[in-house]
Amino acid sequence: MTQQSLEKRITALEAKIRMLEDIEAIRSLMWSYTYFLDYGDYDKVMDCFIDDARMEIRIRGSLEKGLHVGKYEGKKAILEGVYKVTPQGKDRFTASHLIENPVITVDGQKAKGIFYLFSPGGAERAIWAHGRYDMEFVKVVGKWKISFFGFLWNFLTPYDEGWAKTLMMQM
Amino acid sequence: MMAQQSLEARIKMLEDIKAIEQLMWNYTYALDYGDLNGVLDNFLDNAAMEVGMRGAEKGKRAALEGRYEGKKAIAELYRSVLPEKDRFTVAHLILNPVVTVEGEKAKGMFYLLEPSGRERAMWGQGRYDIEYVKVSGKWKISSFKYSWNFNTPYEDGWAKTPMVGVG
Repeated sequence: MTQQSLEKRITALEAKIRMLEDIEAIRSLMWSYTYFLDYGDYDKVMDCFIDDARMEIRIRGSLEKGLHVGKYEGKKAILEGVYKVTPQGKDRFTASHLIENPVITVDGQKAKGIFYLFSPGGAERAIWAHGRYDMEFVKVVGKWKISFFGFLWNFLTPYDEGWAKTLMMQM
Repeated sequence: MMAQQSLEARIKMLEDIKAIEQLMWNYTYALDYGDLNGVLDNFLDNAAMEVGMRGAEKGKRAALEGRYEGKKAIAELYRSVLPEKDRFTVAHLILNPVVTVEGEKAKGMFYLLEPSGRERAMWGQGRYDIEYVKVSGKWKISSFKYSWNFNTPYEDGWAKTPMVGVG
C-alpha cells in the first residue's frame, strides 16, 4: 500500500464519518431545541437560528387562519412573532415537542431535514398538536444552525375533542 | 491493511443502519401524504407482507389483517387505505428503531404510534418486524410484518376497546 493510496482511503473515510457526525449533530440540534423551548429558555432557542433565518408556518391543504401562520424574516421577527406569543413555562408543563421520523440529508456545509412534531400540550386546556417540519440548516464555524424553519400544521385540537372533530382550533 | 478494512466495515454498518431508519421515515412521509409510488418504491417486487394482532381472539378480524404476497397485492392494500395529500388522515410515528445489518441483509424492529382520523379519531399502536435486502446499493423491504397492539377509538382508549376494524 503506497502512502498516496493510504491517504486517499483516509480522506474517503473522514468524509463518511463527517457525514454521520453531521446527521447526529442535526438530530441533536432539533432535540435540544425542544428542551430549550419546552422549558422556556428563549436565549438558547434563538441560538439555534442564524441571524437572518426565515420561518414559514402554513396549514396543510387550506388557507384558514391558525396559530402562528405566516412568514417571519430574521431572528427578531421570529422571537417576537412566534415564540413570545405563546410562552412556554419554565416551572410548569405547557408543551412537550416530541420530534420524530427524522430524515436528514447533508451536502457539505448545508443540510435539509424533515421531521414530524407530535406534541401534547396546554396548561389550562389539554391539546394535541401535530405537524411536519421542513428545515434547512447551515454550518457556521463548526456548528449547525437553522437557516429556514418551515412548519406545516396537520392539526391543533383540544384533547376532549380530538383530530377528527376539530382539526384546527383557534387560539 | 486489516485495521483499514475494519474501519470501513464499521462505518458501512453505521451508514446502513441510518439508511434503513431513513427508509422507514421516508416511507411514512410518502404514505401519510398519499404518494403511493413513493410507498411502493421501498419494496422488492416479490416482497411479502403480513398484518395481524398480538394475542388475537379466534374468529375476530383485526384491521387490515392478512397475508399479501408480491408488490401487486401489497399495492392493492395500500391503495385501499391511501391517505389524502392535502388533509390529515393519519400520521405514522415510527419509533424505537432497532436495526441489525449482516452484509447485504438486515432486520428492523420498530414501534408504530398512529393517530388517525378517517371517519373518527383513533389511536393505533403496534410493532413492525421487517427484513431488508440491499439491491444495487439501495435497501429494499423483502418481508414486512406488522402486529397490532391496539386500534382504538379516541374516546374509548386502548383498555376499553383494543381493536376496531378499519377495513
